[in-house]
Amino acid sequence: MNVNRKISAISAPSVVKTHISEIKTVDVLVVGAGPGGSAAAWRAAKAGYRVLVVERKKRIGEPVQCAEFIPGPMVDYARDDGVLSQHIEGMKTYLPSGTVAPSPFPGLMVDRAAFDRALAARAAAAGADIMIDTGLVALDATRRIARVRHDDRSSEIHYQLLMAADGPHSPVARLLGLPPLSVIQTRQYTVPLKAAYADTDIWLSDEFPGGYGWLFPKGGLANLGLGIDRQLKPDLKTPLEHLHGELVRQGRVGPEVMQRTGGAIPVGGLRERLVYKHTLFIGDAGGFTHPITGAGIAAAVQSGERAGLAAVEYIDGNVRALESYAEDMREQYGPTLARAVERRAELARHWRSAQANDDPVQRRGWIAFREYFA
Amino acid sequence: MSAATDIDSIPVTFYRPNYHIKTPAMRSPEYVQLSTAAAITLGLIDGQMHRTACTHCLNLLVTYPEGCRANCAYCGLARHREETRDYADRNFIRVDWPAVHYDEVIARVKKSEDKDQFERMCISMISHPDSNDDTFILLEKWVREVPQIPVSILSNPTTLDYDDLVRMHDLGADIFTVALDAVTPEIFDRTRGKGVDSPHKWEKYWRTLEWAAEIYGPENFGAHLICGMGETEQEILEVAQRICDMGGHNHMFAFFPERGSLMEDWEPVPRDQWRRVQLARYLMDYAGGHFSRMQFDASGKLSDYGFDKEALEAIMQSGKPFQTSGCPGRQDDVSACNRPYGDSMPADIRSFPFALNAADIEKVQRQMRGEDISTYEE
Repeated sequence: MNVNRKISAISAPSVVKTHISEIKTVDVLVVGAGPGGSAAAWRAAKAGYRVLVVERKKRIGEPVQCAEFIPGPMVDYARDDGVLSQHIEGMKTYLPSGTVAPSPFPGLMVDRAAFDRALAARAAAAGADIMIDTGLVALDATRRIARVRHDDRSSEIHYQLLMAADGPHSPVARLLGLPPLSVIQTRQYTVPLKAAYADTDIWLSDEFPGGYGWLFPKGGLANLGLGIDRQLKPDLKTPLEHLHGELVRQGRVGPEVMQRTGGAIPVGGLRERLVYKHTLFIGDAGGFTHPITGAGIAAAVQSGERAGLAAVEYIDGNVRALESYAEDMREQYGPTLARAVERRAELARHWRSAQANDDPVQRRGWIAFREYFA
Repeated sequence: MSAATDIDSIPVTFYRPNYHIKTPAMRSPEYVQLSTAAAITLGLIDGQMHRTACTHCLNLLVTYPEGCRANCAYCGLARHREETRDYADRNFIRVDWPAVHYDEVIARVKKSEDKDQFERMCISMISHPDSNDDTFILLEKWVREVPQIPVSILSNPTTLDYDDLVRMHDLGADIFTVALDAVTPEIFDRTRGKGVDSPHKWEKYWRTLEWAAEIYGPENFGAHLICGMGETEQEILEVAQRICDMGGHNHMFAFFPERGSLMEDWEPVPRDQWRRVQLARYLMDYAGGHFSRMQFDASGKLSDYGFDKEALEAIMQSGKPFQTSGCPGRQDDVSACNRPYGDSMPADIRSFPFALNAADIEKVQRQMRGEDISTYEE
């Protein structure tokens, strides 16, 4: 089915760039080569359809803008060399009073860049073409034509279906005239970790209104970060410096900052329209991110694979396939995300007040506690 | 230019623009130009600045006899001036830029001739074939000799690739800025692109900003935006919010008609427009404000900041939004780069290089209400 020249990317650490001028018409155009986009591309390409993935970054997966934790059931996606950093056994939650609540929370710390590249390589091996350093600059959804730009040259892509896997700020959504998702901001340092550690640390406090602080160990390093609603507290740098300084004084981490990053986390739950004008929204772009924890990788992969299947079914002639995707995703993720949105709303009534530093208030708003699920 | 005296054979340590002698050939990386304020702070020039004793940022500019090959309409360094003014004699953001031996600058800073006033050093690049390589050399030398003063790069995206930004970061620059200046593609093309036969491209500038966000990280990159080149308040603030969402900071300049530039016949940006933009930008960058909550009238003029009234009043009374915006110094929301009188006369201050007093704040508020008064008027 795919008549384009193929260059095997199975053994390559990075995905091969194809010549943009050769591609004019595809079945599925995927915007964004993160976990969701690559999963969708893999599924559609595996069925033999012409798939093009465009990724605006120069290197897939870089820079890392997440804490790099994935839940235990995702272990199959972390088997490629270099992806797994370490296993996580549990979570320690530090409440405002200083009480530390341990809970089992098995998972994996991954090298997110390697993880993303492995998924992209899987998609390429299945037949998808992936173009990096390529941004979406215009979209005519009625005629199903996208314009992309690479190295100062733009090209027209005619597609049957578009997968929006382009993150929380989603240029696709903007070009379609859909409203932006509400987000909070994160900042993260990668710092030396002084002693081996198998838990994730979580700090709940009015020091981090709208979010929380975290320490996620990965071998000899750790991701130390926080999420904050800038409307509640505009300065993210000072609380992160403060948390870092405290952990240095405790001898848990080193003072050097090996890498600094940050980004946006959608906190409003699923986008109102997951399907619109032959476009399917996946992962962060679809609002699949957990509004309380910020976790989004598993949902991105799962929504991506399901969207890829919907594409296969739709192009095979099933006119209801796209709406089925939206219905299935709402059924699978709707209740969990709705509860999280509700808990966020409850917390929002307390941030920046004395109650925000009451343990019961914070327990009600965090997934490690029974009160959260009551 | 007259050539009354030929002093080519005399080694030059310091050269102040002088139109009566032949301009010595001075070239980076041996030589740099620096702002008048920085020269005063280093003791290279005697002089005083209105209500401010020094600048906290050492602004350096790479220099070549051939000058900058770009031709930006609002800039004093532009190529079209080469017939009437040697490069080292051109004014830039309203002030003279003396040339000095780079080793002399380093020596003076190491001897604390600036009385430890410098909180940051900035290297400004230009469009010239040697600008990239010489910036690497200047940066490397500075980090080796004066590691306690952090370095910003004011970049020239037209000649830079991704790996150049990585290299500057690895050499020790901690902040990277992009002088986007014009905030719409049309204004950009008209003032620094095809409209003035200049090499810059809007898309390349934005791509470089995105690279800077990736490589330098949040709070460690920024954009220069000029207010008053034909855009609406809504347009410039929408761009400022986009920079903020990327994790960057906005460094604002009030448009003024630079003498010798192609836009020297333009009017300065209206005072009330500039004040509203200054305040709104501060809300976005430092106070949790957001463009999506602001309201604009049909002409794109800001009519509602979308911010709590009492909190807004407190911020206005602090005066901070109206101080020069730039790379952070010891206090994050007060710029080390105070660029004294770089965008206005001292009698009609647009970006205050010092903390405002009560009288200053009152004048600013009157300007915001539309009164056409300068900051000097009683």
